[in-house]
Amino acid sequence: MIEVIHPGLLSSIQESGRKGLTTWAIPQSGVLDREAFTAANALLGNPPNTPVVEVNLLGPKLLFHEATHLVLTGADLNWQLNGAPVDRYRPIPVQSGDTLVGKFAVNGARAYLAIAGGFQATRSLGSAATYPPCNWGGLNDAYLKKGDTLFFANELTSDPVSPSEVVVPDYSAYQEVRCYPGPDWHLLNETSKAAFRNHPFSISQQSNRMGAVLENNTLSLVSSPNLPSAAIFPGIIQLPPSGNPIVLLQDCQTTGGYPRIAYIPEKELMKFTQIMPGRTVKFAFLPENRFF
Amino acid sequence: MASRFIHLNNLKFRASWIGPTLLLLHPEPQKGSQALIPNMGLHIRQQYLEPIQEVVATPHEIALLLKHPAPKILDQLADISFLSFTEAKRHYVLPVCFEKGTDWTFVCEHTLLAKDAVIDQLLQTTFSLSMWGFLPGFLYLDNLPEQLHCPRKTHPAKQVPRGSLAIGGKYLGLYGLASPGGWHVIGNCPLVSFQSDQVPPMKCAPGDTFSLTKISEATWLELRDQQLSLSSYAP
Repeated sequence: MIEVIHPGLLSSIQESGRKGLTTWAIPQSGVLDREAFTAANALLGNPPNTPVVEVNLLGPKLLFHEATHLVLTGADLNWQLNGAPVDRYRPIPVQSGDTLVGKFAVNGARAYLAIAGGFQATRSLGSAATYPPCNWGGLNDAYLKKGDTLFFANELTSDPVSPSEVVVPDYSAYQEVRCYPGPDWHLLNETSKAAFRNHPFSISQQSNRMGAVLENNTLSLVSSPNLPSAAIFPGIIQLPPSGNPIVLLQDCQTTGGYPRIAYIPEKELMKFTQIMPGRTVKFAFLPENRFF
Repeated sequence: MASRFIHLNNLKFRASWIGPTLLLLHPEPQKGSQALIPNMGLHIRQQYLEPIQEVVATPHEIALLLKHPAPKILDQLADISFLSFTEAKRHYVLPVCFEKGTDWTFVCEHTLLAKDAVIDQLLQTTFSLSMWGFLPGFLYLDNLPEQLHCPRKTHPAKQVPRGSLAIGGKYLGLYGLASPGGWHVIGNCPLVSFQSDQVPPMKCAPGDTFSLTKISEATWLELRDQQLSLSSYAP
């Protein structure tokens, strides 16, 4: 088992989340960066949807009470094992009594810790992903906290993928995120349409797993609409009356009444989630598809 | 935004792509009950078409999120048979303890009605499920008498208990799970309407009808202990 000496920031047990249940207003939930999550389990030889710990910006301090193997992926948190730096994207053996510490992110924003056999977690609606608003999944249905004990199977089930087969992403290169105009794009006034495409936004520090607020490039509408509630998904960019858009993330609700001005598809959204709050992001439009 | 028309269940929809994996269907012109489109969304969801990952339907839209680009999805949708499709018509009775309402003062002041008069109107109304809510387990019940409409709270309550029945705008809402809430709570229903250990977690569907029956605090406690589901309660 592992003792949580310090939980880090919004650390939680996650996997791919709840699928196909948004019809019943169940949020998709699950990992923010599916690529980094998938790589973590693959490099360890875990089955693809094995529960991992997701960390935001600030890493945890963990004390190991048994020997095992782990893999760290996603953001670079200057991870240290017993005070010595450890590499991401390769299996690390740990001994009983070892301490793993993640510092503040230097590259990227979300990090993943996979462990041999996967973390034990409660399951709700078919998933172990922690969704705190409804007390679903994870460890005690909540974000990790000081004093928690993490249990794991500690067995490797298949051959791991070789580290040489995985490209370690450089998140510091991410400044532009590509998206599509949303169903309510036409409600923006001309100045705001141009501003959305030409000026960068800064990602607010008030961002969580439900959404990230975009600042320093306030947008406005041609008129104040009274829209009926409509479907929202991770990646939808909503414009609340404040004029600061919100990029919806995995834990977002399933319907909302704010104008849906743009949509970031999953692959681009993963890039977005690795840009540190406080930094800037610019949006560009992807070409419209022609399926008709 | 590229769009074209398709027909589903003899209704005309404008289909618009937001990129290759998000498809929005808007009925044109809009007609039918509030529950028609959400029910059609449920019917589409239950076909388990391979490319479809998520279906979210509101009274004015069906949104489909695809697992991968699927250029033929519109043909697949057009092929769905709606012959077996009926707008759900189950009826549920909700036992309600009105003593557990915490916002009676506001509701009485706003409606200019006494508590008993509000309760009388609620007991005489047949509500219909318009859609599942913004939160897991939340039910929007339509047909609230106009005299009972109340604006939402300016400052939402931090925690509203599971089973709360509340007025918000033109709807009566049922909180299937405890959550923050901006509606005015007028009572509590002890039945379990949302089951986190079942998929789907709710059996009721848009178009189902609901009526209320008044219960005492003693009965409320008894029913609460029994953990009865919506469908297993018989007044």
